[in-house]
Amino acid sequence: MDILALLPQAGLNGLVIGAMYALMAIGFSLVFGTMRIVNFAHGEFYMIGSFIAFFSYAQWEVPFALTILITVAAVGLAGALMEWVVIRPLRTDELSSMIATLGVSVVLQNSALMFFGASPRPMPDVVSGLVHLGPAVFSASRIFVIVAAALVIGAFWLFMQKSRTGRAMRAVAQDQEAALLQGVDVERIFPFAFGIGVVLAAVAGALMAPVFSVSPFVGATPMLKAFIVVILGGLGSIPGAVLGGLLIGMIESFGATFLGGVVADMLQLAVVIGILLVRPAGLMGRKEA
Amino acid sequence: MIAKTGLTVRLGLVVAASIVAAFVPDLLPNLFYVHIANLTLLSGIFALSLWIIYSVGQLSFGHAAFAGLGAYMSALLAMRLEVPPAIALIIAALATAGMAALLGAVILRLRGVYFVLVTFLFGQMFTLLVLNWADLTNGANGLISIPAIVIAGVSFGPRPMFFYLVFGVFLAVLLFTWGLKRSTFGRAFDSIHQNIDLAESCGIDTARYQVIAFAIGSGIAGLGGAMMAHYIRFVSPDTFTFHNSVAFITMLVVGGRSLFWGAMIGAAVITPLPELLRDFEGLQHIIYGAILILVLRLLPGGLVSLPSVLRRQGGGQ
Amino acid sequence: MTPLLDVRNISKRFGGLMALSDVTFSVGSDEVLGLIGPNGAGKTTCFNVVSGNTSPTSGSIRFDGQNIVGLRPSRIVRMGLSRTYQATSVFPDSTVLENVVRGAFTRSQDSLAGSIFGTGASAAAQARDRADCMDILEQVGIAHVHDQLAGALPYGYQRRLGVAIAFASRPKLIMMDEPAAGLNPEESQAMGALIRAMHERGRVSVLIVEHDMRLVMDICHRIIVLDHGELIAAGSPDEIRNDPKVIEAYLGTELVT
Repeated sequence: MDILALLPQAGLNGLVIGAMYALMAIGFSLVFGTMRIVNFAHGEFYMIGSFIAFFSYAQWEVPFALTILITVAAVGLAGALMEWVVIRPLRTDELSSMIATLGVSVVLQNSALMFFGASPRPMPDVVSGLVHLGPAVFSASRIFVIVAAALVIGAFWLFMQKSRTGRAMRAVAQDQEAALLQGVDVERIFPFAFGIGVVLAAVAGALMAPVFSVSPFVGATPMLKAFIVVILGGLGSIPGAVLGGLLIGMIESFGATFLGGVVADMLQLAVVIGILLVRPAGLMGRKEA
Repeated sequence: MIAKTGLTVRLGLVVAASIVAAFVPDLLPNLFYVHIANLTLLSGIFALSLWIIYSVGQLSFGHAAFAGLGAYMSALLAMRLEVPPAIALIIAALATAGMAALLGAVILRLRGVYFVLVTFLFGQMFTLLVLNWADLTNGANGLISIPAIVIAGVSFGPRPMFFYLVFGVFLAVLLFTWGLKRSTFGRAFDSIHQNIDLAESCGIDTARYQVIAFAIGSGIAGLGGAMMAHYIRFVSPDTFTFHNSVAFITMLVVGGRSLFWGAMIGAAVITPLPELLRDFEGLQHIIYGAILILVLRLLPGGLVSLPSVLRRQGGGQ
Repeated sequence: MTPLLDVRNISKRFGGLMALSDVTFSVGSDEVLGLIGPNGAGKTTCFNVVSGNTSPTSGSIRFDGQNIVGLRPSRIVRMGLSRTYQATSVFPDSTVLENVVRGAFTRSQDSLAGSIFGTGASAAAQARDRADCMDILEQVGIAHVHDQLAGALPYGYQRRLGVAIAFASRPKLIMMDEPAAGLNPEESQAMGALIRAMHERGRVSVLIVEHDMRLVMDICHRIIVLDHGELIAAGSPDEIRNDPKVIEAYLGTELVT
């Protein structure tokens, strides 16, 4: 195959991975921005999302749209509960709450391992067929993932702009004390923010389940990438998370096509550590006082 | 008070502990228990070294990577350049400390979350590097038949012999940490931990001390990793992963972060746990995580704070 | 004779905002200088620039004849310029005495090797540090609580402890950021007396940023006034009190005289 034929494919793959990273990173960033918590269990919610999709859609043949709704409801509740039971009591201590999310991650991953076993399960595509765009041919399932992810990101953006809760979250992320003064009930916002944050991870997992396979370990890579993306885009910055996600997705896709996956991975880590050193607040993040 | 815990008392404790230790391999029912004791002492070295980093208010999420760095360097020195293992592990420890100092010097401006993220990413990079630099590291297969440590013709390969060696090293690390805590450095470290801005205003070069603590802690982790490599005789990318870093943090938290010997207790409690929970395959890690969360929630000071918590509750009734 | 602290033409820009523009002043040996100004005048920025917590956009700062721009705060402290904080700032989990010992960290004759091995020489050095710091605690009047945890002290005592920590490094110049903030009138007066006593006994110069006008007028030899990042007046307390520009800057705020 010649280079010109590879380019659109690499671009499309980049968009697919980028959309997933963006979803992961937005959720991660939302939690950090509002609560100042690094959620090391973020990847496990991706894993849970892909398992829900697997059982609901592939096993019990529930329609995919309904599957997504189930994912949102179940993971949202679980996230709010986790905030309430595990994180809330530890919020005054940054390191302790971070370690607690680590504990949650260990519990969730190994529970999945115990119940579902380690072997990866393939899942059928939600839509099939090919899409012809000019000379290039794309698989419809990839296009579907991109469109669905864009819809979710759009819905999230609308929620943050228009709804009272969303606006309150943005106020808290900007300045917690000022938000308190404006009468925002910060304590009530936190479970929402955490719930929505992990829901975004779970939706990413559900959308990607047919693309990759489903196993207890699928959350690790997306979480690592979410870290990289938010560092790149700035911890707590939502537009930064979207742009960073797409950027990393593209770098990865083109890097893997032309350089080999491992080199691309190492390159990413090196670039991100470099950025952290030069601009700790990230490319688009605001400086912390 | 200073005189009481001074040099003589410490020497006395060392002698007493050594006498007890001398009989341990003979008293344990079989070699498997000696193996567990060895692993526990190695964990103790890792947890104590992590505590040194924690004592300046930083938490390393890549501690296992530094242990792995030491392990690979020492193993490669011994295998490729035929450096005697006893010397190789010292070189490896110093080189690991040097690496940490370099990394620390660049990341010293980062605090809290950012420091955690960089150490986490460093750990990931280490695993990737080891996996992919196959010419040197033999990739995912790892290095096999790493030579045992031999000092003056005595091999410390057999489990009971290694016990004496690792006990000696553990004791040395423990005494060093104890001394460090009481030293001028320890005072600077604790000042930084409690109030970094005020520490700087006291004339304490906080960045320098944080790098020093990071280098010392990581260097000791490198030493522990190197010892482990020459003991297990095998090292692979799976030997030192993020999960090991999490295990070290768990030891620190469960034992108690405020006191250095909390790390020791944590290592003693957590290391044998998988063996005790062998019958509950799969459940052991869940219990690990659950213990971590429960201790954070119910006993934030860790096991070392248990006596004072119990006393307070007893007094309240 | 060159002044102890010589600040020349410093400016500090945050984004588009000029927090300090072209500020020049000096503090002589054995002088108590007050720095006042309405809220947002740039006092704290000025303070942070001199102490090395932020660097100026332009201008020069010399202390004891040496350039200190770009040096780390700890380095500046070791040269003899120490500071206190506006909010209480102590080592909360250490005893009051230990807090002051840490303030004297850079002066201690204790050695690293000696303290690791717990030698007699190290113990003796530590004993000297303690005795020395007890003296400082006597001076600030909180020696009787020397064995309590600093975090458990009442607010007024914590403020005094903050002063003791800063004095423990035996500075040539001490910069105090609103030492009377949050204190009631009696406590504030006592703080003023304390600063004056420390100044007279220790031969130490003082640069003080303060809202409490009575305190500033009482203890300062000279006062400089900042408004909108610019120096608008300098002179004796009496001159400042009657300076029309100062009165204008403070218009609407209560000028206690």
